[in-house]
Amino acid sequence: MRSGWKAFRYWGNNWLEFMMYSLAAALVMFLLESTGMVNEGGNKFLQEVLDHFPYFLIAGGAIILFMIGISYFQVYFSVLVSMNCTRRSTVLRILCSMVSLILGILALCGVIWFISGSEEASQGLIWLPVAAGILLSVAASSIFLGTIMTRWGKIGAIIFVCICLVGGFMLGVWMATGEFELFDGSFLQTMPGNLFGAVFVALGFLMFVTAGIFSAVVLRKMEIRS
Amino acid sequence: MSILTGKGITKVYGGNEVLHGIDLELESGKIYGLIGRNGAGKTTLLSILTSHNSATAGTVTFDGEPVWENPKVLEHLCFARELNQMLGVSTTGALKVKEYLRIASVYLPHWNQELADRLIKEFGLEQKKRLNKLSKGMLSMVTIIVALASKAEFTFLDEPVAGLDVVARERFYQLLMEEYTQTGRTFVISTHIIEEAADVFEEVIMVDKGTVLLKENTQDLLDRAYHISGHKDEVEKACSFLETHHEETLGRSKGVTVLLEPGQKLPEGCDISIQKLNLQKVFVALCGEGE
Repeated sequence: MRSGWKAFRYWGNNWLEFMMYSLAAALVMFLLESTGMVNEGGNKFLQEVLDHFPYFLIAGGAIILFMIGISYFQVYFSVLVSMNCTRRSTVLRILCSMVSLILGILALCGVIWFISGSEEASQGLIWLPVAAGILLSVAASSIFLGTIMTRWGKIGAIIFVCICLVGGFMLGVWMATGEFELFDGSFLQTMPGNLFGAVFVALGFLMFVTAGIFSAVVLRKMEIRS
Repeated sequence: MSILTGKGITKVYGGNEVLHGIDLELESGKIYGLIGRNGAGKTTLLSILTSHNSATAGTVTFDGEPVWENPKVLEHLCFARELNQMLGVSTTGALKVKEYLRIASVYLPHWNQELADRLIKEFGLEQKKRLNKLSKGMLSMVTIIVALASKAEFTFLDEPVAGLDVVARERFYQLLMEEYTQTGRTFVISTHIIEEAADVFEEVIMVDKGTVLLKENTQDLLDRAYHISGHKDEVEKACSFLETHHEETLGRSKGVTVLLEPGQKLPEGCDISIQKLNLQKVFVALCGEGE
């Protein structure tokens, strides 16, 4: 019980730290973007901030998620296993930490938009599931990359990234030449907003779970050296 | 009394078998010395015994329960491994000492923070420094703090005194004996500085080329190890029924190391010199062959 509380406090501190990083990244991007904004009066400016800052928070959060996912595997995986955590539970802890960060970012965006109460903020709230899907996908990518780097080192990561780049390029060229259509995008315009969001969340969640399973399988017999 | 048992432990890396079917039993309440040459397989063996590495074949159990990925069993074990000075920025080395010890305090269930704080102060460790910025000696101190403060029933230390000066090494042995006397914990210590550590080892495990050459009470081993020297013919006559190791010949003089088996006695009536050996010399005699 006592060790459970200590672990909760430890990961809670980590969560807070990474939320602060996400906020800081979002603030920097927002300030850079908003230097061109005309101040038409305090209330209007505040309204603009409340309406637009969450988008930067999502973007900042995505960047931080990507970075911490890799560093969790590279740094914390070997340390936690050397401190007698099982490999499976360590992967699970990392996944839970990333999910809690995503939830924290989304919750903060939701609160800011709720406080704003404007039409634009209402639109933002509707698009939160899409943001969730995007953040889950980013987290999944970082889990894949972090796992590959931990298991096969930087060479493995470079090969993985090259395969993704080449594959994506070839798919793009193929689609651009009209030889292959992945899907007819027009259905997105007719899809109800809530279903659209649900599709994104489902896809993001599927990617995240796949990445988690991949990580657990690849690292199940990982040797800890330092 | 708890027992950590390894049966048929084999490890293969890419076609190269580094551990060959090792059988080992470690009882609680003892201090074991694990000695062997570089590349003998000591660290690999320790990491397999503590689930840091998987065996290609064989089993490791603790009181009959498998050790591999078993949190119930892992609670009783702690492997404080040698932290490499070549830790990169993107790996464990990116952590600060404070963070590393904090993780230890969270996940080692019997962690004693008071002892850890006392040792940090005694060693003068800078907690805000990153692990990859520490000297070899300071890294050894971090290893020692984790090992002693973990209060684990079975604690494994891999080269804990590497990089420590002689004063620090003496202090480590004192701390080890204090902890052992107070708690009766089991320690398994691998080291290259054999003669210094020999006094604390109740049992010695000698590993050579992936096999366990011997596992024996240290004093019993030393009681049956002798160096016999003299004229070549006299030595050969005296040792005709004994297994000899590490033969050294210089002109017409010869020196050999013998380990008496049960029932064997030292040769008498020969013109030879017989000397007792220390643990280091026994080790060199047994593991230094073929150079």
